[in-house]
Amino acid sequence: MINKLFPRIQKYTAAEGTYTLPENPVVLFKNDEAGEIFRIISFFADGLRERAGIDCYPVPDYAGKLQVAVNFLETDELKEESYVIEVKEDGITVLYGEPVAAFRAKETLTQMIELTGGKIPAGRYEDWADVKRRGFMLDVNRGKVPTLDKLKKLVDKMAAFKMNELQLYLEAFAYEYQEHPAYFGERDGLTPFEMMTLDQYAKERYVDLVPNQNSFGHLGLWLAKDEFKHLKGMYVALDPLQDESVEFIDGLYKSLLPCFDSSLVHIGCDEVCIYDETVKKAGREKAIEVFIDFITKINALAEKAGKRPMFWGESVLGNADDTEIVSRVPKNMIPIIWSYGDDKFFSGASEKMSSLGYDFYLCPSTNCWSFMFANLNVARANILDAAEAAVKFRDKGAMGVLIAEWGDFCHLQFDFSVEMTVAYGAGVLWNLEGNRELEYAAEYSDRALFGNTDVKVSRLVQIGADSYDPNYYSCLPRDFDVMDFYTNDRYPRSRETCVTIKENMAEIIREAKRLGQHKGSELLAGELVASAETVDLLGDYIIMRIDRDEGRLTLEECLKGVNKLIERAERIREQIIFLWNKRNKPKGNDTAYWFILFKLNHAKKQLTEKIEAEKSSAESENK
Amino acid sequence: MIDKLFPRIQKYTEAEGSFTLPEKPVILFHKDDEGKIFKIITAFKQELFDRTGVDCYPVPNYPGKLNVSLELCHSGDLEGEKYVIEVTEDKITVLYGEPVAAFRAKETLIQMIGLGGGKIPAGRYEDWPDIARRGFMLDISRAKVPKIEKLFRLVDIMAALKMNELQLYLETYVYEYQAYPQHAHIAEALTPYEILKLSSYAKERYIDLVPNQNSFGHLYAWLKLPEFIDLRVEDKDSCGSINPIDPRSLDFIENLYSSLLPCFTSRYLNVGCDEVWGLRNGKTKEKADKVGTIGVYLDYLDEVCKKAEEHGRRPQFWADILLNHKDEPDVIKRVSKNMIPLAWNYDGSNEDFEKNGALLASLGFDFYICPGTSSWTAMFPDLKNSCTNVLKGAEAAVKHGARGLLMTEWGDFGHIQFDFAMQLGLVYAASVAWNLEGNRDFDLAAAYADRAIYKCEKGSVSEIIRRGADLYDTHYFWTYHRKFTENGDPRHDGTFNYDHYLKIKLGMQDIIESVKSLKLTSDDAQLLCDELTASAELYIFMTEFMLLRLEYAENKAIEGFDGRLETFLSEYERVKAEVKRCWNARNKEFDNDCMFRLMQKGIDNMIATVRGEIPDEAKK
Repeated sequence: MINKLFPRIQKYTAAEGTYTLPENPVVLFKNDEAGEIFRIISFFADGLRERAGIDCYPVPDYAGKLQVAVNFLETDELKEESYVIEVKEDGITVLYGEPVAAFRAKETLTQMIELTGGKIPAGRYEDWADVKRRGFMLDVNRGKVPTLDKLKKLVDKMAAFKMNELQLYLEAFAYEYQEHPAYFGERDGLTPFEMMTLDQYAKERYVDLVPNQNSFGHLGLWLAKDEFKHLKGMYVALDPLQDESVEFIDGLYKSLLPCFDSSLVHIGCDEVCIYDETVKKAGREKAIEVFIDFITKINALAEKAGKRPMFWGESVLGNADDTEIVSRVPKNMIPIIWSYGDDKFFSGASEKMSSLGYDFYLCPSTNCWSFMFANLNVARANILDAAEAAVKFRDKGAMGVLIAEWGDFCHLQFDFSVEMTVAYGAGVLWNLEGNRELEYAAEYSDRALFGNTDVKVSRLVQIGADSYDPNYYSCLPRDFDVMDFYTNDRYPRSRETCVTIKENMAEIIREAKRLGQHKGSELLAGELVASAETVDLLGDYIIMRIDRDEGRLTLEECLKGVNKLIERAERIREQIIFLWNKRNKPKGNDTAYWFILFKLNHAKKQLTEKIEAEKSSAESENK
Repeated sequence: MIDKLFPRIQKYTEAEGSFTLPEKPVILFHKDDEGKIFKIITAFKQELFDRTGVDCYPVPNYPGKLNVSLELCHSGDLEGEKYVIEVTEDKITVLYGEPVAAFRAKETLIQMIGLGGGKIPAGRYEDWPDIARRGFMLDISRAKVPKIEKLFRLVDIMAALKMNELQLYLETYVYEYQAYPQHAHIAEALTPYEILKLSSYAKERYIDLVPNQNSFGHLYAWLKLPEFIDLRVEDKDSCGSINPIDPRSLDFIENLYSSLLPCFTSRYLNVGCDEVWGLRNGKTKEKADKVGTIGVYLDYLDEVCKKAEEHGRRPQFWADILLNHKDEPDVIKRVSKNMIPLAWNYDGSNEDFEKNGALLASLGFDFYICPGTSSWTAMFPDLKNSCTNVLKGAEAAVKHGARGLLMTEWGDFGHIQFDFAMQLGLVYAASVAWNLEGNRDFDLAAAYADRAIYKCEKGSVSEIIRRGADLYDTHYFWTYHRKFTENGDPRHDGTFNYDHYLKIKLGMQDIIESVKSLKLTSDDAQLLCDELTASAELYIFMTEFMLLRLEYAENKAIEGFDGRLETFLSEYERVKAEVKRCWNARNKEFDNDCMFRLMQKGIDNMIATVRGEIPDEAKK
């Protein structure tokens, strides 16, 4: 049992015997005026009924003649999230210093009971967090705006993983900024009320909802509007020299920030480009100086709102050797260092940030976007690298780790591969040494996230991940880019790889359909099938292209094939839209498959033109 | 619209024009650190949508370029529950000092929007309570233990009525005391967890759930258990009072308190201590001879109240015993001013509230006035008595500055009445306790109940209850206690006759017909109709019993008794089953037979009497 707890706990000291939970275990706790511990006890009681079928019997303060099964006991000796569960043959004592630790213990104890059926090995279970802030960032701006219900469920899952920070990435319109009601119709944005409701919900589950508003670059949607055109700097960034740029951000902050109780705000500022002439006009020598000037102004806005800002730190990191300039970044600001590859990156970066004297975050990713199945293998290495660095530098400025899930290309990927990756991350951030192996997260995901059926979804996710081949691109839009029927270059991949991947997808579809027979797992099954069908479609496309390259298909046969693929894609698209709406707000769902259909239709056009051209050249030759 | 607000508000100053709510009104509010205002806004949004179909758009702190329809503003000038709603042609502003006032304003505002169809007359709406604590006490100790869902619903009803205190009366093991788990399963008791949930639910609705534990008299059920039989003040089965000079008694009470009180965050505790009998001749005789029974009583009351204080609670106690000594200032002055006397009286015809209120106020007590719903021991309440009782109570409370008005609903005689029987009284009490002058007219309460609780689309539930109330006759229930040959109730003048019974029978038949034509949209509509019908049917059945009794009294025989008995008994079984079914819908099944056991005794007695199985002496 102890090895199945997820995240695995820090320390277990075995003792003789076991404790057997009675039918209606009495749970003793200290009731406080604010009702905080009672809320945790309610969660415990509800969870125990749902997950272990046990009805417990909570009593406040006084046990009388009742035999106490679980005693939640406050102690001065434990700090922050550290807790101890002592199991003796006559009962269980949960020791905590702060309510958050009682909440963490609640999840562990529920798993202990769930896994043992109430026969719990005696001993001392000690647990604490290796990394102080363990966060997840969800892009709600590209493609999918999730429903409030999905976000609440996400918070529930994160709380079960013992995570404590959530960010929803915003650029434009995915939140309804009071300052700009004219654009409410652009998207199904999250409303202030939804955001506040989520904030409260998360807070009760000890997850800090941190506002995340890009405030410099990535603002193309705003800057495309007539009203804001004049604020446009380079590409999709604001012009940092205009006062009105700062005022614009202030308007976003005044609209967004009051929804959050967090003391932090993520101001974004990644991938900013600045014109040379802007640098010159500013009287500076380097772009980084102008960048720092601007984020210093944004820092003041955040401080005015009572929040400490974090910002994407790649430009600071890139100029870290220029100590004089980089040190101009106000010391309260928190650089967040991101990198999504599987190379060892974070330790070196942390060294630099630490020597500059900043508190900083590290940000690996789910490696999910642009693919239907996450690139789990890279994600795992990436997250592990961040966790190792965060632990190594935890007393030297590393505040926490934020795992990013982006939504490039309309956020086509479904939640299943994200969740297992985040679970893995949560494990290593809580207890690095205990949770290095992916299989723990996989086993937990099957049990707690994927419906606990005989279909091992974690294996399907792994098959999907293994089908990801950097030489094949796994599935999505990038592949369509290299598939051009105009070119006579040979397609650079092997036919055998495609066939293997198609076989993998067939297995996923077969297993997913079996999963779909289980009540409550239908939606997940549908998402797996639609994902695999998309990859399979792509496989057929590539095989067709290779067959043409190798002279096995005529152009006419290719055209016929493409027409069939279009039909198939239309059908999958409908299914994808249906599935999208189940967990996300509908507006924008028609963009989901747009890219794939666009490319297929483009291929059709190319083929038709080529056939016409060949015909007419043949005709003219005949003449 | 203004006259239909319920409870009617204290003051409206008219202005020109009106404000029309847009389709998606923006609500601007200012967040507080504890998130209390956001919680109120969340409830407002949900209730406004449920009740009026209007979907509002709340924003915190900053309106930006949105057109604000409604703004909640904190005002340093307002205290307690007082709030002001200012309506101009451009917008509505709600002013409050404390979150509770914003919560009160929420209800008024939803009514304003609902009643005006979104078009609200401009002006200044000012409102505040006349009496600080406006409470309701539900007896859960006599047979009927409510399901927790019913209690949540009661809290919702009370919150809409701007009430702020709820008590659940305990005298037996209908709460699972941790100190006595061996008795927890005698009844289907409420668990600590259920009470904790209710306490938290009520708190979020600004209702203080005050623990109510009888601690002296009325402990019949406990004192019947072998474990506690020694603690009786008198050695007889009918003794319900604990021996106040036995130190084990206080240990017992301490165990009850330790088990019960941690579930409540209230600063108060009602220690009961009403109707304590047996002090004169029981084990306390020697002491009573020296200090009088009141001396014995007050010594123990002091101890109990000290216990309450040790648990951090300010004690309330029923003041009947104390007020029996109202002409003895030395006695009354012995009572600590930290204790809150609850002056109860359920008879609308006397002037007790005025007299007792004046006395307690003159002595400087914080005190409560406690009228009753007059619904116990009957299926339909004695509304006329209850209304007068409540009104006189509220008048005395306002005049003499009572700290609270606690409306009581008792469960004597197996708590046979259904919830509708107490609801009109509850609504009326809430309204006069909030604003006495504005809400004297009972018709306002009845109209509100039809609109907000029963949701009548066609017909009027309150009118049906009032018709049933006009036929009120507790005699029916008490008579089952008595021998079949005894006609009448000694508490009434004279005996009843055929005309009396016919009037009730026909009246109840009319009620059954009226219920059939009701159209209600409340989520418990069918159950309510079934409860009304079952109540009327039980009355009709009991009328048949009375008619048999009358016939026997006149003729010393009943013609064709065997055949008529068969019909009578089969009707009895049918009605009994229906009453129990309704009971079980809102309450725990435990003891739903309580009243029928008593009725069965009356029926058995009838059969034996008519068949001559009871000797003539007994017939007399």
